[in-house]
Amino acid sequence: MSLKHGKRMALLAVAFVGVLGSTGCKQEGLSEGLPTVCPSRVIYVEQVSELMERRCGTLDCHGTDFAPMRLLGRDGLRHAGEGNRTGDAPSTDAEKSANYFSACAVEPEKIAKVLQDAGGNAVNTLLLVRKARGQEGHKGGKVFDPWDDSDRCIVGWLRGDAEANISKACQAALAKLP
Amino acid sequence: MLNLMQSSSLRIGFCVAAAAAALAGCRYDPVQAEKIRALPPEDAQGTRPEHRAGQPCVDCHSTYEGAEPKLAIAGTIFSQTAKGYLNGVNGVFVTIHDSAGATYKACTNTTGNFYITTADLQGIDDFAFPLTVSVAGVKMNSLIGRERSCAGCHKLASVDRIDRDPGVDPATGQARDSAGAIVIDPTYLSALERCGPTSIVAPSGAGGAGGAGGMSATTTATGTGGAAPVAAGAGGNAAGSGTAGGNL
Repeated sequence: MSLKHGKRMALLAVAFVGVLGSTGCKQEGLSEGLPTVCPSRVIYVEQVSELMERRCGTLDCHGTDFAPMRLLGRDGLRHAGEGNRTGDAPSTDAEKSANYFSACAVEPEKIAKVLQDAGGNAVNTLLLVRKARGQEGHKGGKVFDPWDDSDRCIVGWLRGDAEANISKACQAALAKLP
Repeated sequence: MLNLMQSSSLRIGFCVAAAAAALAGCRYDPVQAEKIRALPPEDAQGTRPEHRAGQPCVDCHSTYEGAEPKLAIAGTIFSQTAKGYLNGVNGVFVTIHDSAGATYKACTNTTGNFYITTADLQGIDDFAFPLTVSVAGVKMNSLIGRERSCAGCHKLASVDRIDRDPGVDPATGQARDSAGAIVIDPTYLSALERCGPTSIVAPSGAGGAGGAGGMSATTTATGTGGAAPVAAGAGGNAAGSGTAGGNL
């Protein structure tokens, strides 16, 4: 009886460890699975990330460990594994990539549909766009006007516009930031 | 009949109690409550405007906690000694620009604290966020998205923080999630960036007049560092100082 009980306990322990392990793996794999349904990572890292860092990723908004869409960067929250402090070294590639995963993870399925709807209206339904435009509940309120430079920078990336156009919009938006 | 009356009174009583509970529940914010609970005990300054330098002022001076005066924005400006210790900087202007084009100036008091009360926002309900800030001629790198307490992001070092993150600078508190204390070098302040004096023993009612082109200064009850909106581009500096007021 006690042997059976011992075996059962051992099985339960193994199952518990297994569940814990699989949960951990799921979280690890979540961000890695996303790029297949998200627009260009290179364009995001090179053109879009800086605007989102400066306009959305301040320490009191999305630059915090407590924000569901977390953004990292020089003047905001820094990457946990790199040892940088706020305000010091420029934003790193790891931080910009992490921002890419954050933006893609908001609505991965919907973003995939936007990619299949080049030039269409699907982009206007994304939370990422609607919150920034103030069309959806957003603690930071309205951040961009529809189709202003900042909006075109992000929307252009989401729907796969030509990189030159995205770059022009992003640079114009950055130039307007105080 | 009596039973019916009792029953309806009970029902009304229940509804009133439920409504009161719901209202109280709506007001209670566990995140904000925890932030306030985690603050250290009151310091030697008591509840004067010089108290709790470096702490997040608007956590308490808000509609939520109810401490008076209600503050629209507040913080502390420090200098750093050669050994790394922080001292509050007295009598320096902090300039705040909001997104609607309004400019506000506040003057630090003896512990380096500055603040703009909600009453100082004459004629408007609130700042238009995001804000930009400059102190001693140095502009803050990032925008302020919505935080009204500078110390919400400019966190000082603490045992708790260093325990959680060994990367915290023990002198300024700068870390991966904090810009650290706002530190300036007062040695090189120009006359335009200085304000005050801001003695707390000043007679009340002797608030300073605004400088040329500026609007009237708003003085605080104790006559210490106050704030005033400044007409954009007019070049006026209105310091709410108890003794000398706008002295530029």
